[in-house]
Amino acid sequence: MEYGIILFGSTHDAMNAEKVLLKENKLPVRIMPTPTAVKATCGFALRYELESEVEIFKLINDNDLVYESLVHVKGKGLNVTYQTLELA
Amino acid sequence: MPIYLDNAATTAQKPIEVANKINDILTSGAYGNPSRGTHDYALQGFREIEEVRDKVKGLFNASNVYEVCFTSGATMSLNTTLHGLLNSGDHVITTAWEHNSVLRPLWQLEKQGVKVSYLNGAQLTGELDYSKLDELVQDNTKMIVCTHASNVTGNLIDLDLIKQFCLQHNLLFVLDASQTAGQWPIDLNDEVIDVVCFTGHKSLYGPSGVGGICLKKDLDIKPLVTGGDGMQTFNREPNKQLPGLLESGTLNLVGIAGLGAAIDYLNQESIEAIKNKNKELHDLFYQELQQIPEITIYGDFSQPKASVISLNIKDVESGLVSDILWHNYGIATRPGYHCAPMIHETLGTEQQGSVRFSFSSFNTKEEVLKAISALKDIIENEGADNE
Repeated sequence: MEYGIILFGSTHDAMNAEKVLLKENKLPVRIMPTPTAVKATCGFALRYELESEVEIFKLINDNDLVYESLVHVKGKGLNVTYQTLELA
Repeated sequence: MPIYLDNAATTAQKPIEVANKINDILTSGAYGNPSRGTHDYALQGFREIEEVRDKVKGLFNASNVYEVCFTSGATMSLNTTLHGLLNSGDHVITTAWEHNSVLRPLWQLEKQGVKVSYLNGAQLTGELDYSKLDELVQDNTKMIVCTHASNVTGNLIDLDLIKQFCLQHNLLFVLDASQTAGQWPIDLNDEVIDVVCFTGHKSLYGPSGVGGICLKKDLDIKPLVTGGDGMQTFNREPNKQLPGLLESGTLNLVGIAGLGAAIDYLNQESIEAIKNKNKELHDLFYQELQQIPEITIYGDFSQPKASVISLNIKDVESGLVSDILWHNYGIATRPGYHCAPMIHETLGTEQQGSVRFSFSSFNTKEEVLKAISALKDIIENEGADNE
């Protein structure tokens, strides 16, 4: 199983992105704790399904949503690995 | 039904009396702005606040040596107290257990010439080495500021020892009671503690947005915020008298009244009974956790504890465990660092964070056992044993 997470600089930015993606565009995203393995923070991340990735990033750009980075998560349950994506 | 085990962040379940009181204030149309006018509306608001002030004094068994000032919560109380009492050249001692609401004001003050020393703790348990206090004290030490209980391990500070130390060295003692007020007795009868900072929305069962400072009236404290006091309009200096000195602006009457109803509830139930109920839940959880070898539990369980337990499953990062607990089992916990960086460095969890479970007297033994069963299920079915 593989899914994506978007990291944010503030919980406020994460909630704003959730509002645009979930409430206004009905995309299957949900808030989760930022994995401490990726970033030592208590922040919020937004989990999304990879098939929605292109649409999500179009909406992020169209709505000027502020985020920090993207991570792909591979694995299941407690056995997961994180790959931070290099953005162009 | 989801299960709420994040009571150290805030208590989600409140006594109905709190809501009823707030409803009464808002729907009666009878409460004006306290200290702003002499009509009955303003006076009714004023009287309500003074009543709650007395209830807080009662809660802490505070004599007339003390005054109570209302704030928006413990963070504002601690910022007001630390910025208001410490000056360049002063030295202050604190501990590795502190929340950022103590540490960050101190780190701000460091830039203004205040020196800070830390009483450190032991790995895994966080146990403080009180024998080091003597080495930390200096000629210019003015204050010890510390939490009554760690919001990560739940361990209580040795209050009597710190009190004695403060008396012996003539130091101010500022206590952060964020995690204990309402679920642990705090008695100012001996008048050794100079300031207690508290919040209303955790174990006091009040609404969020209200807290306070219970402090000695003779302290030379500068206000963090100045503004209208409803009295000395032409004076360019703020009102020097407590509580007005620390209460510029319109008070949160609704919140304060709700806090008052919460204190009535606590008195009716008795803090001792609530403490015992929380201890039962805590002890049951701890006893069951000890049967799960994949789990590391943090804290010193030979010492008194508030109803907070932090743990990890093997080396799995805490956010993942907390997310599975919520998403798959409907159990609300708090992962990460709990705004307390130094205790996580002490415990050795600065990479992993920890999953914090915290109970209130509204929780049940059934809920505790469901949390245990969820943890066992996660370990068995989500792959903790085949890493």
